[in-house]
Amino acid sequence: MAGIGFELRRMLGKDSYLSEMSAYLYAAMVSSGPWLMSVLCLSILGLYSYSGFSRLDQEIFRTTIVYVYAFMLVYVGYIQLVVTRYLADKFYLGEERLTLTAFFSSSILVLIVGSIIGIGGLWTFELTITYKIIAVVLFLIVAMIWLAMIFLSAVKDFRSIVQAFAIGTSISVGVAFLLYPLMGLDGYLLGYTLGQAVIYFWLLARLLAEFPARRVWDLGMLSYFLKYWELALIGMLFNLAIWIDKILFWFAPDSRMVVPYLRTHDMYEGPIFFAYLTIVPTLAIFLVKIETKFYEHYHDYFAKIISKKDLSSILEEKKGMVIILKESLREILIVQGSLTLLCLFMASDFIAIVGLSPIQKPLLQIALIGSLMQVMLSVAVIILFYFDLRKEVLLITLIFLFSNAGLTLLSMKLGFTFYGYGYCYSCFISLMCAYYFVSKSVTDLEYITFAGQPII
Amino acid sequence: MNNEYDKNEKEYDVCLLLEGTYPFVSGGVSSWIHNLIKGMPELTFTAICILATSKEKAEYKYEVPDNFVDLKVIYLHDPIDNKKSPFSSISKKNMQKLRKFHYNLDKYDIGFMTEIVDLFRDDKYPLSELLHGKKAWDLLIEIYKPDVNKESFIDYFWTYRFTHLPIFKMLPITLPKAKVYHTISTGYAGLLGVIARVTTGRPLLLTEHGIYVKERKIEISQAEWIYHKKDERFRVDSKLGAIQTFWIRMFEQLGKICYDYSSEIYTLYEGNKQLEILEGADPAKIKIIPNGISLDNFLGLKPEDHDYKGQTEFAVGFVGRVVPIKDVKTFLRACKIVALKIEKLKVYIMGPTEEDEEYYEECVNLVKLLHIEKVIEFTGKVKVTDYLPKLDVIVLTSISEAQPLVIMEANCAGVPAVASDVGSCRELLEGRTVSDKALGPSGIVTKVADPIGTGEAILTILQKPILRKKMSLAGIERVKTFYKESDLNKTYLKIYHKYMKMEDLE
Repeated sequence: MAGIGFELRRMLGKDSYLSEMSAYLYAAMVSSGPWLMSVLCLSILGLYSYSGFSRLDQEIFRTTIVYVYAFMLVYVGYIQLVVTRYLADKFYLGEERLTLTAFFSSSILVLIVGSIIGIGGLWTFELTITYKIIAVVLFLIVAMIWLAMIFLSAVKDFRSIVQAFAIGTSISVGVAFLLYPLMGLDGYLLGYTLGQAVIYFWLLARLLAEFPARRVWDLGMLSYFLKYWELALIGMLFNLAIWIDKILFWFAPDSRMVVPYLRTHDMYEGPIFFAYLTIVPTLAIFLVKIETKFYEHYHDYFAKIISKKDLSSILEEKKGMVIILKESLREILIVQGSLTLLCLFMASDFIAIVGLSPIQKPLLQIALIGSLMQVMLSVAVIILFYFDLRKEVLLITLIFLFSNAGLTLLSMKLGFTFYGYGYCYSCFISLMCAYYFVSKSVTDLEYITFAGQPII
Repeated sequence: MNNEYDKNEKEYDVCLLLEGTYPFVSGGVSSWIHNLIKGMPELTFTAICILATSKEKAEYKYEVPDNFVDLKVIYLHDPIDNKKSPFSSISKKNMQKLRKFHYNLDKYDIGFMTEIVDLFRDDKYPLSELLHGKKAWDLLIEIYKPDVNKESFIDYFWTYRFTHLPIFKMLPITLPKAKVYHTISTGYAGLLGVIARVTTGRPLLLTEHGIYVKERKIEISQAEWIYHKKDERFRVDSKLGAIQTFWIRMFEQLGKICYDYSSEIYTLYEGNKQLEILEGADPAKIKIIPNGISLDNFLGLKPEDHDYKGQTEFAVGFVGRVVPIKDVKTFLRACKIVALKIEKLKVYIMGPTEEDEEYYEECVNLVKLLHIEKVIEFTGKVKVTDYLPKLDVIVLTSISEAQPLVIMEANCAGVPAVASDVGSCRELLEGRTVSDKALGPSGIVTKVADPIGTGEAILTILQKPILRKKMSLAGIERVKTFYKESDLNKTYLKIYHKYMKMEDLE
C-alpha cells in the first residue's frame, strides 16, 4: 500500500465531489484487485449463460477460475509484501529507476515457479490437454497481472489500472461468448484468458512507458526476501488463511467432484463469495481515510521526533493520531456494519436474485458477519504494518490460518447448520488478537519506535 | 567473593586498567606507565585496555617489558552481540534495584554496588532487555520527566544509549585475577576498577594525572555535535544544555564511585588534589606523588665550574609548541623588556611551529613589531639537551599545564626557570613540602599572561649571578631528592607491596 496515500491525498485535495468519488473508486480497485474483477466476470458469465452451455461445462469453468485465483493469491502472496516494501524503500531513497529491473526479476521468479506449480497442480485433472494448457497460461497471466498491479500502484498510476480492467474484463466476457460455439469449453476459457492477457499487456505497457529498461536481475530486491522473510511468509499465509476454509470444504464429505480431481462445494462457496463482495465499499473508505488523514498524523508524529521536540509534544501528536485512528475505525464499523445489517435483512431477496438456494440463507448471513470481521482484520493488519510490527502480524496470520482451518474442520463435523461458523469465529478470534496488538502498539508507540532501534 | 575464579587461574601481581593509553597511544601518561612497569621487573603486570573501536588499528607504540603480559583489549563502542531471548526479562525486584542504581549511583555503598555488579554477572539484567525491554524503557521515561523536560527527546534517547551502553558492557566483564588493581583514570577504566574491587575484594588504587572529569567537562562543553537548542547556543551565558549536563553528570558519577571504591588516590600535585576533592574524593585518601624523571640525561649538563659572575652574554630558552595555550606572545613581549636592558641576548624558541601556522605567523609578526628579530630564533623541533647547557634561564608562559616536564628537566640540568603560576609550576620551583621548600627556589613564578612580570623575573635571574647559581643548585637538588624516577618507582613499589599483602576486603 506504500505509495497510494500520496495520490489519494492529491485527488482529495482538489476538493470536488467528483474527484473524491474517483479516489474512492480507485481505492476500491487497488485494494480488491483482480479477485473482485473475476467474481464480477463470473457473475456476468453466469447470469447470461450461453444457450447450449452445459451445466457441467459451466461448473468446470467456474471451478477452474476459482482455483486459478485462489492459488494465484496464495502463491503471489510471498512476493507481494516484500516487493511493496522494496519499492517503498527505493522510492524513499529516490531510486525509482530500479523499478523495472525489480519487476523483471520478480516476473522471472513468478513465471518459473508459477509454471511448475501450475503444471503440477493441474496435470492430474481429467480435462483436455488444450484446456489444461490454457488454464496454466491463465494462472500465469493472472499472477503477472497481480505483480504488475503492485508496481503500478507504487507509481500511483490508478487510472491505467482501472482502464485496463474495464477493457480487459469486457474482452474476457465478449470473447468467451464468441469462442464457445467454435471451440466449446476450451474456447470459453481461451476467450476469458485473452481478456486477462489484454489487461496484463496494458499494465505492462504502462510500466515500460513509465520506466527505462535496465538490467534484468536486481540482487538488491532478492536480498529483501532474506531480510524481510516475515513479509514473504505473511503474504503467503494470510492469503492461505483467507482461503483455507474454502479449500477444506472442497474435501468435505458433501463436496462434489466436478471431474477428477476438480472439486467444488456449491453450498459453501457461493454465499461466501457473495458475502465477500460487501466489503468493497469499506476497503475503499478505509484506504482513503487511513492512507490520508491517519498517514498525516503518523507522518507528523515522526516529524516531531526528528525535529528534536520534547516528549510531551510528541505525545500530543500521538493523541491526534489515536483520535483519527479511532474515528476511522468507528466509521468503518458504521458503514460496513450498516451494509452488513442491510444485507442480513435482505438475505432472502439477495439469494433469489443471484440464484442461490433458500437453505443457504443462514450460511450467507454468517458469511456476511465473517466478512465484516475479515475486513476489520485487514485494517488492523495494515495499521500494524505501518508500525512495522512484522512479528506481530505473522503471529496474527498464523492464528488466523490455524483457527480457520481448525474451526472449519469442526464445523464440517457438526453438520450443515454450522457451516460458515468456523470461518466467522476464526475471523473474530484473529480480529481480537489484531485489535489487542493495535491498541497495545499505539499505547506503546514511542517505546516501539525507539527501543526497537538497533544499536548504532 | 573469589568463587567465580578458577583455582588454577593465573594470578598477577598488578592489573592495570587503562583507558585510551598505553601501549597503544603514546604520550605522557603512557611513558609514565611504561617506565613504571620497566622499573619493577620483579612484579608481574597485566592490563585491561579500553579502546574506542576495533575499527581503528591497535598497534603497540612501546616495546612492552617482559613483565607486562596477557593484556586484554575492550572496545567501548564496538557493536555488541545482542541476542534477544523471549524468556529473559528483568524481575520487578531487580528493576527496583536498577532504579536505585540510577538514583543513588554517587552514594557510596559497597554492598549495593556488589549486588548490582553480581546481577549483571548472573545475567539478571540481559543486555537485550536493558536496551530494548519495556521495563527499562519505562525507567528511561521516568528519568526524562516528560512533564517538565523540554529537551529534544530523540537526543535524550541516543545520549542515554551512548552513555549507558559502555557501562552495560563493562559491568559483566570478568577481570584477570590480581593482587592489586590499579586504574590510571576514573571514567570507564575507573568503573572496571570498581567492578574488580567488588567482585574480587582486592584493593583498588587510582592514579590520576589529569583530572578525567574536568577534561571530559571541557570536551563536552566544546563539543558541537551534542545537540543544543538553538536559542541556548546564542545565549550570552555559557549554560550547558541538558544533554551536555547528562553526559557530564554521568562522568561525575563514574568519577565519584571510582574515588569511593579506591583505597588510595594518587595525583601529581596539589592543584589536582583540590579538583579531586571538589569532585567528591575523600581528602584523606589522596596522596601526592609527583612525576619523576630519569636523571642520567640531564644531570651535569651545566658545568659545575660555570662562571656566573663574569658572564656578559645571555641565552633564554622557551621549550614548547608554538600554540596559543603556551602563550608565546606574552613570552615575546617579556623578551622585549629583557632586550632593552641586556645587549648580548639570545632567545631560542624550541618547539614545532607547524601545529598552528596562523598563530606562528602572528608570533613572527610580533617579533618584527617589537624589533627583536636579531634576538629571537625559532629553532623548530630540537633535542632540548643540546641547548640546555648554553641556556641561562628557561621560560614557560603557558596558560595551562599539569606537571611540566620542561621545568623538571631544566631543574635537573641546573637551569633556573621562570614559569606562570599554573599546574604544579610553583611546587616545582618553590618546593612542595617543608623540606622541599628549605632547598630554596629554583626559579620565579609569575602571573599568567603577564609580560612585565615575566620580563622582570628573567632580568632578576640574569642580572643576579649569585641568585642564579643558588637557583641552579636548588633545582638540581630538588629533582635529585624529590623527582627521581627511581624514587617514583620505589614509592609505587612500596604501595604495591603494601596492598598486595593486604587481606581481601569485604
